[in-house]
Amino acid sequence: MINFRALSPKLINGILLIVGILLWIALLGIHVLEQSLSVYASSENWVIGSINYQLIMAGFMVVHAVWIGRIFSNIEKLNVATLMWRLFMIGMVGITLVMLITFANRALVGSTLHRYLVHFFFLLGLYAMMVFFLSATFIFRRFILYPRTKRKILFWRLFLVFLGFSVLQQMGIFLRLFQYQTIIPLRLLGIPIFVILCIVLSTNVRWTAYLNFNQKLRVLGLFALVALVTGTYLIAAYRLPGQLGLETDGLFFSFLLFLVIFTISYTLFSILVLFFNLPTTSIFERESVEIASFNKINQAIQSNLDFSEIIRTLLDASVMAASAQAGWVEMVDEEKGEIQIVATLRTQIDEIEQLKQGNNLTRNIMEDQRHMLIKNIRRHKLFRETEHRFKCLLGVPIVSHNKGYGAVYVVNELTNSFEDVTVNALTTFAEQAGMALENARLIKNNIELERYQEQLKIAKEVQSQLLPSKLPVHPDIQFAARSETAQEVGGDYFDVIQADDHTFRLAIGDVSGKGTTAAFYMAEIKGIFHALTRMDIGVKEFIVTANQALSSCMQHGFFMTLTYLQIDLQKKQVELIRAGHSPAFHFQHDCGEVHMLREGTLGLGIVRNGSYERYVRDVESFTFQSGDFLVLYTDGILEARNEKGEEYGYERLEKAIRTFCEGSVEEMSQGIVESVKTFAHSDLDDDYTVLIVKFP
Amino acid sequence: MNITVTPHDRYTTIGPEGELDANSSVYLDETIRSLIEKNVYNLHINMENVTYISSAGLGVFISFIDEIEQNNGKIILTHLADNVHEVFTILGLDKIDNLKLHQGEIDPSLEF
Repeated sequence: MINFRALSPKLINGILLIVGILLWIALLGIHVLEQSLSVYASSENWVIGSINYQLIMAGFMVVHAVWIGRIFSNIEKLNVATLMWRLFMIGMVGITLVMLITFANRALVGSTLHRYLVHFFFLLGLYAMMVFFLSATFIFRRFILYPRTKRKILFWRLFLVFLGFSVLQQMGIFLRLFQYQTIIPLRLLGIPIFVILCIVLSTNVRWTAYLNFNQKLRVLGLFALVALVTGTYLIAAYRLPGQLGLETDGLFFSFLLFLVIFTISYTLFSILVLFFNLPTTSIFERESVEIASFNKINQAIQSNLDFSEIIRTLLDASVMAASAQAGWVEMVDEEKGEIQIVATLRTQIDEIEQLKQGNNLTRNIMEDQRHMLIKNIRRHKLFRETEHRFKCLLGVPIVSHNKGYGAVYVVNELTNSFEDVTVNALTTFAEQAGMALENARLIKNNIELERYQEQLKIAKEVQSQLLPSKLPVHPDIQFAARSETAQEVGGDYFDVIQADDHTFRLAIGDVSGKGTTAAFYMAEIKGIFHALTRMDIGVKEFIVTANQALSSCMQHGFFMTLTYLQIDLQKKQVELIRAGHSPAFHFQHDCGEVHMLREGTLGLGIVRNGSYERYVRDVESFTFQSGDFLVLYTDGILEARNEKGEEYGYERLEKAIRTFCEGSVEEMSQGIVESVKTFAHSDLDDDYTVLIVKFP
Repeated sequence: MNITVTPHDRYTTIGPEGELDANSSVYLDETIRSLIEKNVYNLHINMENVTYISSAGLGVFISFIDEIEQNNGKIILTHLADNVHEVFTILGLDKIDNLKLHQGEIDPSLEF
């Protein structure tokens, strides 16, 4: 057995064609044989009309039907004009053939060969006609099944069943099975049912809807040509056997007849539908243009188009959808707050100004958030009997989230020329454009925001370099510090400097406020600290000079707290001055006793005239012993709050320090920060710093 | 922020209400500035209805201290809550001659 599915479609088609041609040659053979026999016998004994002959004829037709059906069933993209053109060409080739037959027949009349040639001519004519009507049928099948539905396929199959019956009938099978009287009513009933089926199939002309005016006109012309070809074939089929001097029933075999009925029916319907649809096509075309414009604006929303592109798209779409003579777009200038004409189509700014005469049309439309349709400009109060070529105006606001961007206008020279449909279309367009503008604006803002964030990131990096990355290492003193900012940059500051082999100078401070401003002053104090610690000055002088330096550069209303220490390891002495800063803890004898170093003076930058020195009286001066340590911190630690709104405070801090008494300075600083964070249950919303100094 | 201003013979009482943070302290700043422009340098600030004060709030009082001192004026703060009083003290504001802090109620006329 040959597996047909494994064969390539082209090969199958080739086989079918060869078989078809062989069958045709067989038919010709029978005809020629009959002709030669008829010289001796009467025509009553002819084989033509017998079952064998009709069997070959049926085979010939069915094979061709399958072949042509296969050729036209695999058209994926429906192009009506191309298919109709192909059908017309097939028809023309056939007609040329028939015409050649007619001429050849006339020329050869009377010759011996002529008696045989007429059979060849007859079968050739039959062949041409069958190919044409089969092609027409299967091309129309593609049209009918556009798009495919179950019902349509069912009707088509019924049509094929009828064709099958016609073949069987032609073979005379019914005559053998039934009595002649039974077949007559079947025939009488069969033909009308088939005609009705053809009409039902012919109503499937959905493809016409997708053609524009020009395409319809072209396809209509092609259908007319095909109709002409069909007519020519019918005449030829009627006259050709007579011309050839053959005594047959003409070319009207019932199979072919069925194909002809179907072809005429579908051609006629298509011509009528195309013809009557022509006037309304422009409306559909406009609708489809509107849909296309709508899609274009929609795409503009999704892509990152800039303002001018969105406005251009809106204006083009609006003028087209409204069938307006001109149009323009007015937008609010974000910086100036003025309304400006930003785009025009088939008109100039001068002409628009002349028309508007400085009225507040756009503002009115934007405030109302509603379109304005002025049917006759001359009679409208806003236009004060303006004489202008434009007589009718439609303005639609461009709004998004209640933010007015501007308005789009379309104008016409004819009064009362915009309908509700136009208003609706333009309103939709303007809404879409509003959204697109909103998107574009958001994207722009986002880009700016990202740039600021990038800048802040840089600032954070710069600032983190202002704090010491490494603290001095010395066998008789240990340091540890932790600092974090609430925002990208902060106002906390600490620093440790070793002045000589036994002297250390420390500062911890906090600029009022958070963020960028605080960060600038924090950088300022670093400069002051490093400048002053190089000079050999006392803590009192340090703080007075620092106040002076800060007062000259710090904005009014800003201030800074600072604790400054000088530690002498030789004398085992600490001198500490507290300028408004949170008091430090001094733990003695391995957490035995604790002192809060509360004595202090005013914060820096509070009193900016020379009188600051008057307040600097109290300096803490104390000696330390091995096992003592100091805890310095900023108010971000003390003022951390929990969910109840309670502050962390001194007591909790002291308790936390005692918990980590035994540990290293690093463990202590980390322990304190974690204790505060646990208490606050989140990241702290203020800058904080902890600095531990231990005397081992 | 709601701020009441009540003029008296020798001084003016200012009563801010709510939280004195970076945003609301701007209004207090404006109020005090307008009084100083009218040469009113004796100010009584009733802190009874202030629930919270940030460093920006403190900055308002601080920014006027020099000017008030030059004009021999005085700022008296009364009804200071414990924690607010603590903040003022830590900052050393209690040491300033022409800024007086009172936790309770006093008769301001005695101070001026």
